Amino acid sequence: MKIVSIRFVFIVCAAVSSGALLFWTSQSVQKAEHRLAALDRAIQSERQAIRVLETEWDYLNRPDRLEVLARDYFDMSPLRSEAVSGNFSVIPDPALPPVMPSRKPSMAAQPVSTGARAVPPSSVLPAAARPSHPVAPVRPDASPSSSSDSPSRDDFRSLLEDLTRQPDGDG
Amino acid sequence: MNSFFRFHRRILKMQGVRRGALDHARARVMIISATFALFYIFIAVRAFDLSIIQYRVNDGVEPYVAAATGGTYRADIVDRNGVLLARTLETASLYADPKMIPDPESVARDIVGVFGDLSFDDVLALLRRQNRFVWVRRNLTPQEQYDVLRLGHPGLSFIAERSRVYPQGHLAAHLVGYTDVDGRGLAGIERSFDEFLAKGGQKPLALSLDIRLQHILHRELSAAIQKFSAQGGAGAIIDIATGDVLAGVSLPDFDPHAPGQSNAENRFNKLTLGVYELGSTFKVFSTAAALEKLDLSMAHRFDAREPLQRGRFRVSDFHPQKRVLSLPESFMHSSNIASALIGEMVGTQALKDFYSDLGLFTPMALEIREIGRPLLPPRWREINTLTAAYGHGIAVTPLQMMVAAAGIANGGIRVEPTLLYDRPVREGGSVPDVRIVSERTAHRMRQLMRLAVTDGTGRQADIPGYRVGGKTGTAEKIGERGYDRRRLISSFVGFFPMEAPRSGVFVMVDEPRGTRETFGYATGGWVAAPTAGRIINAMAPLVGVEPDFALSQDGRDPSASLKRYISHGE
Repeated sequence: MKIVSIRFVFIVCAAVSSGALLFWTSQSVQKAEHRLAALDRAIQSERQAIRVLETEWDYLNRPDRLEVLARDYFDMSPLRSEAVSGNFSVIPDPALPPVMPSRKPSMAAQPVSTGARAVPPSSVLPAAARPSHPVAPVRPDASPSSSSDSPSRDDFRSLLEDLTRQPDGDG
Repeated sequence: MNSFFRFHRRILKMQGVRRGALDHARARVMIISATFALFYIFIAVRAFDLSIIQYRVNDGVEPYVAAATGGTYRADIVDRNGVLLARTLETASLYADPKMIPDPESVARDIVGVFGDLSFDDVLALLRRQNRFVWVRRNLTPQEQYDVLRLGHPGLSFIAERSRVYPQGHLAAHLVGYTDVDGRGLAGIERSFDEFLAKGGQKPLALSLDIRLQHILHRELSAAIQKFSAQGGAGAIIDIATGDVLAGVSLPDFDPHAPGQSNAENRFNKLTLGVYELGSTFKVFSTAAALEKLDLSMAHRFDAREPLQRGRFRVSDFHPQKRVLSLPESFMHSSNIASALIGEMVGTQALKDFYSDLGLFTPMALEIREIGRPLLPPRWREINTLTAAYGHGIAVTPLQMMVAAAGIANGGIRVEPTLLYDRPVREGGSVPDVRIVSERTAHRMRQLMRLAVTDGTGRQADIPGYRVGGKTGTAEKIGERGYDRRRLISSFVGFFPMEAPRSGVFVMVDEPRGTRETFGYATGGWVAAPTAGRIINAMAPLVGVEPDFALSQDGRDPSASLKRYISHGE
């Protein structure tokens, strides 16, 4: 009697290959599941980080803190009504670029708060916040060698100087 | 198995007597060894799977803080510009396993290095305990957690917890409220919208507050309280057209992260829960009642030469002019005698009806539960009509008074205050406007309030260009024996710009003490009015009011037409 029949070999091969296939499939499913879980965890932790950072942004933008910073570093003070002379409408609107990206524009359109008017007069803004048109004063200490640079870079330098100016310099 | 079958066939083929017990034994040995071989192969495969395959698949590092507890977060509370007022964050809480800390002294020193407010001895005592779990610190900031991780001590671990964070701190604590450790709202919006907030979801609850105005109000009110060594105060800024409460402050206040650490006095909401006799600010209402019900002429004259005597009651003026006053004069000098006479002229029933229409007799409708019930005389006598006309004998919440005055200043439409940015439309569509005084009366009252600021007791609230109008109030608090002349409640209710007011400001200072600068005065005109002026000065650019000096000049000012009723000197 034949010990190894063709049929027997075929069945064994089929069993082994289907077993291998099954193992490979289960391994790839497991791998995919692990990847999914890792991605979920990563998304979750990113969301957490975003929530924390948003909270921190609003914490750091507390009005009392901004007030102290504006007073100490920008030499700004609340606008007095006497400081406003004449009519706002006669001043051409230079479309000031926002000093800081405004957040949540969908909620910015308010019946009472008009954001544009809350921007202080342009004289107290650092130079970079102003549009580079001829009215902007030219800083005398700007070296002529840097004339090849784009004007925006000059503006950026003067902004940096403004920001890093030590308080003892102007008393 | 294969070998077993082969063997089996072989022994089947065997012939003879030797086939028997020996073959049986051999077969059993084969079966047992095959079983064990399979078992070991299984273990080998599993070991290979776990140690090589699974390791390569799981290349991620296990998180060092236990994973999120799942579910949704309690919804955020934001102001009208989307600035966060309250948010639930996942924070790490630090605990220690003392069994895994071989050297408590150095660990304690490191922990104290991270948390400066912990004491070394306390931490050391914690770490020397015999149990396996001690809380070191709950709800760390990310920076603190990073610092602790950098220490690298194996006995320190974190558990993720949820905590309610109020980025603005105490700024709007009374209105926003606070929660307990389980996240249930205990006060303010947190309590009244507890179910809505607990449901969570993506959409935050937007309040009508504007945190910038809130800060201005808080800053100026705190400054006034400090300057006049007062016990406390309250203030509000509202949009008198929509009823939006833009800012509301009650001082002293508390830290909503730890409400238990402040006393009940600080947690008490003076703005909406406390009821006070507010004094002369009520003359806005009695004068409006006289204009509305009696159509009183501006030229009407009141005899204020002598204090008014009614039975055993005596009404005298705080700023005595000792002469006959016209109606505008009596309003701007805040004459109690004239107001009492007005109350008498209007009559008890008519005045009560008018106050009731203004909503001064019933608790105000607002979206928080801390609402005070007005205190009225148990039995309303004739004399109560006289005193109610100048704001005594009736106690209401400051916000209630403010809202009632706003209803007159905005042209005569009753104001429904709200703390929500998107006020839900009530059933039956939009809320119908309720008229409380005619346009004409409202216009007269605006002129009178402007006059009180240009020429009267509220002069210090005047800001050039903004045409502030308002009324001061100085009430005596009730002491052990009747009214105490030295314990005052000074208030100011103001609106601007007076020809078309949009914003209203209310300031109340509790028990101010006069200073050298104010010549010892602690009245509404000296304490509350300048504070309100500073608030208006700071907030006007934010609400989009431009100073207009041309309109303030003589002849065009809202109060100009009343000037001829004023006699100087005499």
